[in-house]
Amino acid sequence: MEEKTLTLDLGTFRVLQGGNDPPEYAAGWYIDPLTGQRIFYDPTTQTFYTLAGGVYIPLGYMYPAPKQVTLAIGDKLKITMSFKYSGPAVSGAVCYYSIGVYGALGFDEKMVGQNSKNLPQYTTPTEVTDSYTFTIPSNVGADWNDIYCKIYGGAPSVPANLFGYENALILAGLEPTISDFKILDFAKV
Amino acid sequence: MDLKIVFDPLELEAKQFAVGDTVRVTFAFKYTVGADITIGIEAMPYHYIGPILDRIGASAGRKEVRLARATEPVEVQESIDFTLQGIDPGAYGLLVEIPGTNYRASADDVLIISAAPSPWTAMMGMMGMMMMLGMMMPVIFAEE
Repeated sequence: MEEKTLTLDLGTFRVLQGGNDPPEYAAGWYIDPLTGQRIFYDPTTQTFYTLAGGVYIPLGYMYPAPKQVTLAIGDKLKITMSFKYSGPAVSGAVCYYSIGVYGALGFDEKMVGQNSKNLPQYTTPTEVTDSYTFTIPSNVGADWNDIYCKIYGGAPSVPANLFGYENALILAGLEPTISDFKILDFAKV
Repeated sequence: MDLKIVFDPLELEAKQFAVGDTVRVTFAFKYTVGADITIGIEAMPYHYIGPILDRIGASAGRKEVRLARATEPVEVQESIDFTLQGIDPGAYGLLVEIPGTNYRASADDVLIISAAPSPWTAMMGMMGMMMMLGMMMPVIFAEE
């Protein structure tokens, strides 16, 4: 069976400091470097928002996949997350991974895995990576094609940072997927 | 300068058959599947009764096809034989499908089916020839 890899970049973050963490950005509009979308930053909630239908909604954490990985039952999928961290040493942060179905009601987690991660003290943003390997089970559904990962918790606690890709996987399940079905010829025999 | 010409697949032309004939239909498809599997594929004539596709099950042919595990699309070409029986003369479509799924290929009105020649019709032909010979024999003998 093959092992295939997907890599997700969670960006830069620091630990929460008792709710008094200073806002990283000033209030205002920004361009999301990942999507090119105009987004608004509210320093009070420390949240990015985007404008949709005249209503501000929190910016999503799921993005179109930059590539697709084709998998079958028994294949292994290695998901690698990376992020930049600066701050005090953290013990026991959770690096969390999931494969599932993303829809209007959120992310339906079909498979999950996690690692406990200790972060050393960094005074400047330093890249950290972590990975988890899933084995595709025999009951895999053809619609389990979304993935996301997050890091959270630990002591001191890091804020939950989520990032995911829609339609990142092409899954070959027990039921065949047929295409280009056509009659070529017919004759009396 | 490169000139690229792409031909669309030709439409199937209608062909004449008689009740009792065996028809061989050749078809192709691409598939992916996570594990080796055997699927049943059926071929048969059909026609429409109003908006309803009516399969002529009495004429259906079936084949079991083995699909090996494939994560990239693999093309398969197969054929199925079926005999035209339990069917009235007329124009019928040709259907190839994987029962229980929406995977199918079809072509409307390509089977033009006539009645099978009956034994009486064949016997009438033979009797006609014998009558002709019977009428010619006296003439031949008379000339001698």
